[in-house]
Amino acid sequence: MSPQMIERLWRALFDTVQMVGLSALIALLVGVPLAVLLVMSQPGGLTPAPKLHRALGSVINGFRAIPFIVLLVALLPVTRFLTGTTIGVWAAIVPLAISATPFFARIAEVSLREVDKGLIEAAQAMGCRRRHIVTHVLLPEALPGLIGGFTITVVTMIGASAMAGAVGAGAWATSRCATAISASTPP
Amino acid sequence: MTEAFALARNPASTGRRSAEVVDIRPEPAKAAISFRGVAKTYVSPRGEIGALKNIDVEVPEGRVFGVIGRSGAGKSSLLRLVNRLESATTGQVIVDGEDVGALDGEALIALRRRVGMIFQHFNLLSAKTVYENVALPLRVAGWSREDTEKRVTEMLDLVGLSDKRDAYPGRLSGGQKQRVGIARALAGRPKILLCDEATSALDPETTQSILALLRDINRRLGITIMLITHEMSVIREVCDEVLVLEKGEVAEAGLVWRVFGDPRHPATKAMLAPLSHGLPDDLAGRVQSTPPRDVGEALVELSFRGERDPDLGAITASLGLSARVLSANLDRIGGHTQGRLLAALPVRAGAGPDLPENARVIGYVASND
Ligand SMILES: Nc1ncnc2c1ncn2[C@@H]1O[C@H](COP(=O)(O)OP(=O)(O)OP(=O)(O)O)[C@@H](O)[C@H]1O
Ligand SMILES: [Mg+2]
Repeated sequence: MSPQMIERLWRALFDTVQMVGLSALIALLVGVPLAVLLVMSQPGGLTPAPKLHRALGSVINGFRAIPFIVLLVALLPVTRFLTGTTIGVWAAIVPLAISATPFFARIAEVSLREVDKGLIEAAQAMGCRRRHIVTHVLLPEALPGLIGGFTITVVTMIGASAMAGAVGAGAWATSRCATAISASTPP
Repeated sequence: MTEAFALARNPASTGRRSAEVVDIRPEPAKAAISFRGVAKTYVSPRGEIGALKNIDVEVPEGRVFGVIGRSGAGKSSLLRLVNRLESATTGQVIVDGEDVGALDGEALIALRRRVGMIFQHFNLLSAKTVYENVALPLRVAGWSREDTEKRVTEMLDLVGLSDKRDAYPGRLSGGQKQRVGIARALAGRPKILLCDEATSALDPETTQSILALLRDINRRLGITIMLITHEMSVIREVCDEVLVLEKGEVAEAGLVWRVFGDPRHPATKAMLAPLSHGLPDDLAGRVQSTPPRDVGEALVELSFRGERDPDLGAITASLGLSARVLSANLDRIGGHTQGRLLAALPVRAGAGPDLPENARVIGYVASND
């Protein structure tokens, strides 16, 4: 392999890590509150809000039903609005984060819902406010599940990042066709 | 630290009320909890379930109040009305002078901090240490770090778990978990402690030690305890008063020794049946309802309801010197001896015996010879 080739692979690896890392961080920061909201608003939850729950659920399901590659293209205007470009690492982070967030939110929701009802009841009985229940009971007790779910999300994102590379980032497998595709997309 | 050690340190916690523990508690002045015309109906997709109806009950301050009943009788529903984990469909629940149903968010939180609760499955937070579990109610109530530290140490000492302070609940035995539950429930200095089948997941020995601890807490701290159970023995062991629930309604209520000494409701009798005795097998087959034609014996049951201690002289005087004792099942509950004694009395030719008012002829057996 030529030195330039190795240099380019390193560059691609770095881009992937940056892309996945940042989008995963966004998915985490947005996904966990979304999951908490879903669990709290469900019927029989801490603050039942069936309408909000259903609306939120539909939006999340909607995003999850769209294949990543379609989402990638459909989000191009949003990407351009947010980052001012449709190519490069920063441009890839937008669709990656938008697709990973609902994915992770659903997994996190399941973990949160599995927290023993008795623990929530005990917390209520000792005079915990809702935010205490979230910070002292729901999140710590669901932590193992949340970590597992986050790992799955990151692995899935690495796969998707190869596709996001199609819009110009230097993901491994597509580092070379990236130029070709970005040339055919309007700047 | 073992449970036995914790017990040994607290001389008052020797299980049943023993002679050296003098009941110095004053007569209850007022009710800690009153249920006034309470009914509870659950609405589920499959229809309405009436869990409680016509409940008018007072839980006296400073006493241990037991609620017993079969599965599904509504015991948990009743208990959960007290700290409004459930709200009453109709009627009022007055706790510590406040109408629980009328409290808004802040007032409800304040009330819940004055009412501790322990659970059958302990409900400890697995991600927190014993210390953090006990400290949680104080942290959320805004206690300072030093006060919390001091109080938690005191509580762990009370339940005999000082050496487990940094352990996680997953590493504790059932009895130890329940002790942590008790420490957590008492940390915020509540006036009332609610126990939902607190010993149902424990073995008999551990049950004894937890009941002794509860009794001790009631005595030393003057905390009103409302506990529910489906075990008669728990009531006998630790309660002053009992409420028997049957299908969501009050079957019987009153002082334990009165209710158990003279059960009136079929539900209470059925629950007491395993504790009392039937007719011994060898006699059950031969018993007849009329006096034998020549010689035979009358089977006489003497019941002691706890008003007076059984007097051997009086028993002999009323039954005669030729009476034989067949079986006896006497027990001392709350300082009152009660139970039944079965005796056989010779009778002749169609005549029934003369009996005192606490005696009853169950039947007759003809002599074999
Ligand atoms: N959240 C609920 N939703 C619907 N029905 C309920 C609910 N909780 C209890 N019930 C019903 O109310 C009745 C009384 O239940 P409860 O739990 O109070 O009984 P219990 O005496 O505590 O029984 P156990 O000894 O089995 O714990 C039962 O018929 C039960 O099915
Ligand atoms: Mg129950």
